[in-house]
Amino acid sequence: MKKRITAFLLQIIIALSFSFCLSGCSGQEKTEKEIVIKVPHTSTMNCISNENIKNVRTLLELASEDFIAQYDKKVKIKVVEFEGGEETKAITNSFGQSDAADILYDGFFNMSSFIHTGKVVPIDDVLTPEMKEDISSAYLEQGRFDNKLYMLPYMSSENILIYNREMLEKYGLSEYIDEGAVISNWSIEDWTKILNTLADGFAKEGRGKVPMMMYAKDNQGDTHIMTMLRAFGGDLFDSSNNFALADDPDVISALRWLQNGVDSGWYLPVPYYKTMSDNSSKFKMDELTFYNFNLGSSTYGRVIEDYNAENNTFKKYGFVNYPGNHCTIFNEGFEIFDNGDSEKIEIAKDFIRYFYETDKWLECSAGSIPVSKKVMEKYKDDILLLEAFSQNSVNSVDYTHNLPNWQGSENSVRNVFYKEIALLMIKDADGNFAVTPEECASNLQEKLNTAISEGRKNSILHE
Amino acid sequence: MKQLKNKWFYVLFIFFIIIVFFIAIYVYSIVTGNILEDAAVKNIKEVAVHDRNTITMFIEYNWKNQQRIGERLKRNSKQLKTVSQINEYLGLEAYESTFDKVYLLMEDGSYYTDITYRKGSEDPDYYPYMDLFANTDSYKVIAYDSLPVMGSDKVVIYGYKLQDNPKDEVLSGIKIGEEQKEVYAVIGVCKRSSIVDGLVIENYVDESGNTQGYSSVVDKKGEYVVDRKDAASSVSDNLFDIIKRCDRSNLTPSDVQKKMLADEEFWFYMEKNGVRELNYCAPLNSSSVDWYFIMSVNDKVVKDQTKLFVLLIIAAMSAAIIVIVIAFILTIIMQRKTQIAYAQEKAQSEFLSNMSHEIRTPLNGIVGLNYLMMNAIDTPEKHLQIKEWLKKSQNTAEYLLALINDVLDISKLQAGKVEVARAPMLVETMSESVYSMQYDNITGRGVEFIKDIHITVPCIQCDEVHIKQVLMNIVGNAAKFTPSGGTIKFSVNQSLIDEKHVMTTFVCEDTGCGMSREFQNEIFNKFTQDRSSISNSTKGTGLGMAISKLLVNAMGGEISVESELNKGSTFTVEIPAEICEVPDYLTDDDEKTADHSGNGVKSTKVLVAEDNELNAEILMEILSQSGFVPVHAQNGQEAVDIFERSKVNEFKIILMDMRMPVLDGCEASARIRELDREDAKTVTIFACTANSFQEDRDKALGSGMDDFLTKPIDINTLLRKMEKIDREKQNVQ
Repeated sequence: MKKRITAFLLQIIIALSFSFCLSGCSGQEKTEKEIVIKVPHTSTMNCISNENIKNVRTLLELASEDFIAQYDKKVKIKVVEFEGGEETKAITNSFGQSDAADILYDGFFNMSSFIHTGKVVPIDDVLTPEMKEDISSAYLEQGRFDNKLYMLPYMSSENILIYNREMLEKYGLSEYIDEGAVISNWSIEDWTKILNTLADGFAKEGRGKVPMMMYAKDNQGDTHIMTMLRAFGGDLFDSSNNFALADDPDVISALRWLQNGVDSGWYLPVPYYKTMSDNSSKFKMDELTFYNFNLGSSTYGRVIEDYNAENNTFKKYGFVNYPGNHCTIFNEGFEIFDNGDSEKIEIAKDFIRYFYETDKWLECSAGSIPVSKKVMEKYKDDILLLEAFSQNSVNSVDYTHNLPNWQGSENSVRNVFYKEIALLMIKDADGNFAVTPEECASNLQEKLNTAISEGRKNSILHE
Repeated sequence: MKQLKNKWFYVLFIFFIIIVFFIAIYVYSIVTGNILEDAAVKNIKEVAVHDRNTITMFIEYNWKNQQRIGERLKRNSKQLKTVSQINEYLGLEAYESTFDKVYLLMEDGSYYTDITYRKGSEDPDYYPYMDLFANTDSYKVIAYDSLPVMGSDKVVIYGYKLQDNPKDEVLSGIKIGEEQKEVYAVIGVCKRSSIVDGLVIENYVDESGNTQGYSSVVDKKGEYVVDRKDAASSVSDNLFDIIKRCDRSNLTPSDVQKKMLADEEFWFYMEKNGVRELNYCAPLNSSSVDWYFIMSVNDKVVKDQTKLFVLLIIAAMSAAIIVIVIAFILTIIMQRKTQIAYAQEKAQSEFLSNMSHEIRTPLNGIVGLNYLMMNAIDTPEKHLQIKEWLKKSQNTAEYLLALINDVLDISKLQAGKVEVARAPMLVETMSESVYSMQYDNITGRGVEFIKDIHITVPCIQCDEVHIKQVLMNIVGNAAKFTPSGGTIKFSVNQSLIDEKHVMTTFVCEDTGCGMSREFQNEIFNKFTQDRSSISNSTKGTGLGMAISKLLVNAMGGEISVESELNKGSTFTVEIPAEICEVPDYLTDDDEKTADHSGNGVKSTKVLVAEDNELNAEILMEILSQSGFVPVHAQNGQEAVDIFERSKVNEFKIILMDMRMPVLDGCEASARIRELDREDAKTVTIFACTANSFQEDRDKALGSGMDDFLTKPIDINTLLRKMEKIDREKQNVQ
């Protein structure tokens, strides 16, 4: 009896203490899942099917609302934009935090590095047989690592240069202008002549105009500036997928050619402290002749206006491949991150699947180059320059080779590259360049290969 | 009853402690929570003031940088003629300074950047930077979501006036460009992230590494200059819109705006989706900045700090209270154990003392009677008196035997094992025996002893010894506790349960001292005696009623008591039993005794195996007097040998002691049964032993013995059995 009383009292004490603790400790109810989709602010769109959609954020917000309305689970989706080029801060730095991205929409070259963090989940199970049939396997292959699909393409872009043909015409360079929706190819000699002629002319104008885009303030130059390193025929990579620059005379020639552009007045003043945005602004102000262009560019609208303004001909703009007659193709699409919540992963997959299975959202890829065959078929005649881009794809180069550590870490390929290019452009107090092209090539090779090597060493793929 | 009350007292006491404990915790947690919340809020404010000063210093540092840019510009202005030269100059300034861009705002509103020159409002890319200085005389800082020449970046623009700056007149009059226009101001452009980096509140990071607090800067229109929470986001929001959209807030958007316009320092909270956020708002302490610093801290931070402390207190107090309660309980347990041990020790001591007394008393009677008989043996006229004394002596000896059996049974009774024998019993004889045995005891005390026996079923199957033990105990107790002049009534009644069973009810009603109600509840517990004044003089084993209850219960009956203090007690014993025929041997004792006097004895030889000389002699003599021819064997082996050497059927009965040297009774019996002779299987072997437990009985019967007689041997029973066997065997022969 005594034991029973003692046990009873102890049980009461423990139960009361426990319930008290519980009442104090708990109190937070289980809330609905929130999916965070992150997208760079620079993801502009030229959506033919819906003119109100000017950027990917708007597209995803509208699609999210529709998805939530028809989804059988109660979920919230938050679309967050981040500054272009701030992928490290927006994605890597938020791993494990409440605002970590569950879905990322971005260019593949930006996204590929995240795959090697082990945080990006394979999404082969998102692909339905219809999707596999609809999306060209060539596009899908770019998202595969180790035979698993980590990035699902939505649309594709082909980077070339757009130029202000009025400037060329003004300075007697009309002979280089191809009429119509054509992407021109010029020799290096032609390029040199054109840029020098324009630079001289602009100098005389005294309004601060320059002919060629150049920027090395941040890491945005890997796509375009790196492609110009091929201007003299260099391939940049060896058979082991490592950078081979230091002993390649073509690469050194290209670097020298680019460096001479500083003295020749090709670029904006202080090019090493200029951004792609500076060049974009300069081009839009008609003070820069050559600038990057693809069908998703914010200048695409101006191009269409130009084309439509006068009998479907281009009066103001022309198109040309990068020096060396190269273009780059890159896909944009989705990645799904594992933030330790399998339910959120499934919701994210459901969203992506819904997005691709819903025509009105899939068709928003029309404007750029859609990866969907049916969208392409439906809108091919409505996408200006699509045919030209299609024919020009033969000039594309694989500029990333799907290498790890392309971006994300402090010493990633992108971060190493722009700093070395900046050094190539910097002059000391005596007016001499800080490094020679040879030194630049050597430094680039060493540091880029170190970045790749570390990327390979640290690569973890999500099972 | 007292114990029960004590238990409830302890239970209530512990509950009281628990309730007091929880009330104390509750009150303490509220008070502590408020104090800690105030402390946490103060802490937040301190951090906020620090952050606000940091931002202010950062802004002032940028203005200082602009001043230096102005100073350098003054030195280099003559070299800045063309747009390209000025673009490059500003690019280099930006490269060398803390700004992403450095612009020069000219007196006519045109401006130079590091990439262009914008002349007038007709230019689509022109931006009216001159408006920045509309309401300020020297410095300005303002946030923009985007600027034409800055792409889509969110920026902060710092303005430092050069022309006619009342605080810095030396920088007036700087002229640049082909048209030699005067520079009105230096404009520095930074990405907002440059401020963001200074707004991380390291103090408020939870276990997962998530920041639970963040700083923001808004203008007085509610537009975020810097929204630390969504630093990576380019999507701007408005503070007042956020307040509108939240689930609840203690201030409306207009309240907040009014306070901002009045440059007040204030707090407000917002709650959305169950997340409550405390917001400390303070104007940046610079007359040239119309911004408000806001530090937002998740209420969880305050609660966590409070909860942790309160939980620690609860844990500490819980531990203390549990220790106290456990100590209290242990003390009670130890105290109770001590009390019980003391009581048991005392009861055991009293028990031994009482047992000694109880045994000595009948022994004294027997000794006394023997003395009387020895003195009167030679006086023929005293023979009747001797016979009466012998009968009393025998009764007393039987009672003594029963008492000893009780004591021996105590161990089994305490273990809950009570062996109940089932044998025919003459109810009236047994009742008369009890009455007779207690008569002198009771009447000798001056107490009237009345019997009221109504028997309808003369013989029942039950344990006579135990029933008698119970009744002797009850009547004996009545005798003890009934003062002279009182009355004791012993009643026996029967009622049929069914055709085969009868309920025999024994009632002992006295006019004695009675019992308290508390004692009535305890009377059937072991070692219990009422310590009332009347009973102090009476001593017993203290086991009597406990034994009685156990025995009665073991026999399937019930024992109960009704008593009133100073008026008397009534004990009722109800025994259900099977009805049986009266066996032959249960006839009149006198006749049976006469039969054993030796008449009609057929000189039957009996082998007596007994190692104790005295017992052997008594037994031999009794058997001889009863007409039997006893032959003595001093141990089991000798018994086997004598039997083996005897003629067939020479011995009809063997009385076999179970414990003997050389060969014990069981082994000897087994060997006899194994002998290859005609009477080895038929000779009747009685086990005679002082071992009265059931296992001894089983062992004896298992070794081949026919019956079991416990010592001291009931001579009458022995003789009855022997004569019956003898008759049967004679008939067979």
